[in-house]
Amino acid sequence: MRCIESAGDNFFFELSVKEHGWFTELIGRYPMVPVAHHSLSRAPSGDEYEADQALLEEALAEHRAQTRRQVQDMLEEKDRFQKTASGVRLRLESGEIDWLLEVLNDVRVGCWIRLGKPDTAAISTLEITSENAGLIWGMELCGFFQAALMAAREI
Amino acid sequence: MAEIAEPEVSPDVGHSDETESRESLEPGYLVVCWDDPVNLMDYVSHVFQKVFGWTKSKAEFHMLEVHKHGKSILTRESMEKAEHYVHQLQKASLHATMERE
Repeated sequence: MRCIESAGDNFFFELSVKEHGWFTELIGRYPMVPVAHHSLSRAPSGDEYEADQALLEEALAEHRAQTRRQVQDMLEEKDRFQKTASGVRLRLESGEIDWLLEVLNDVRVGCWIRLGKPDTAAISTLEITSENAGLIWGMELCGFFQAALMAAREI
Repeated sequence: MAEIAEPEVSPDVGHSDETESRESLEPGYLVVCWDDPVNLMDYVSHVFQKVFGWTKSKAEFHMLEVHKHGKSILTRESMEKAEHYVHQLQKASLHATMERE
């Protein structure tokens, strides 16, 4: 996946047929991070904490439902992914890049959580098994697609 | 002998021209971002710019602080604002919390 053209707020990416399949599969996994993964504080104090934590989880759940609808709309949109002689052409607006980065990051972090939250050293030495191969693959590829989107926006 | 009259000085209470906002008097809440091995450095920097409206260099400074020191205090705010920022950072899947000062 690479950005081949940008014009104003529009960015055009070229993906191979395989990359297109991987990209749609990965964003289709959203959301993967459990809402309860996030806590408001490491040192909770005060009677209001539980209510505030519940509010946080509610806000996150609402945000995810909305983003999930955006993902679904994108996947179902006719002509969003256009076949070309060499692969697939994808047009994205900068705002869409922002939420796609968030979606890909959620899937990446979600894979990492399901792998048991390995630390940096453990990630590089993870033994690949039939159980964890899909998660490692997902984590690495999400990073690849995030890097391509950020490079286009010069982030 | 008459005592020399001392000038009368009123105690310095009240009447300051400057009024402190309620916010500055409230206990502060620190918005902290913690290191994890999964979020990409450029992505973290991008999220900081988006959430706080920071310049790229300021965002990168805090991102590197998280990376090198395990955490970075991003801002000190009232409870309400700190919650708002933590929500925004967590929506982006960053490991962020608010801690009472």
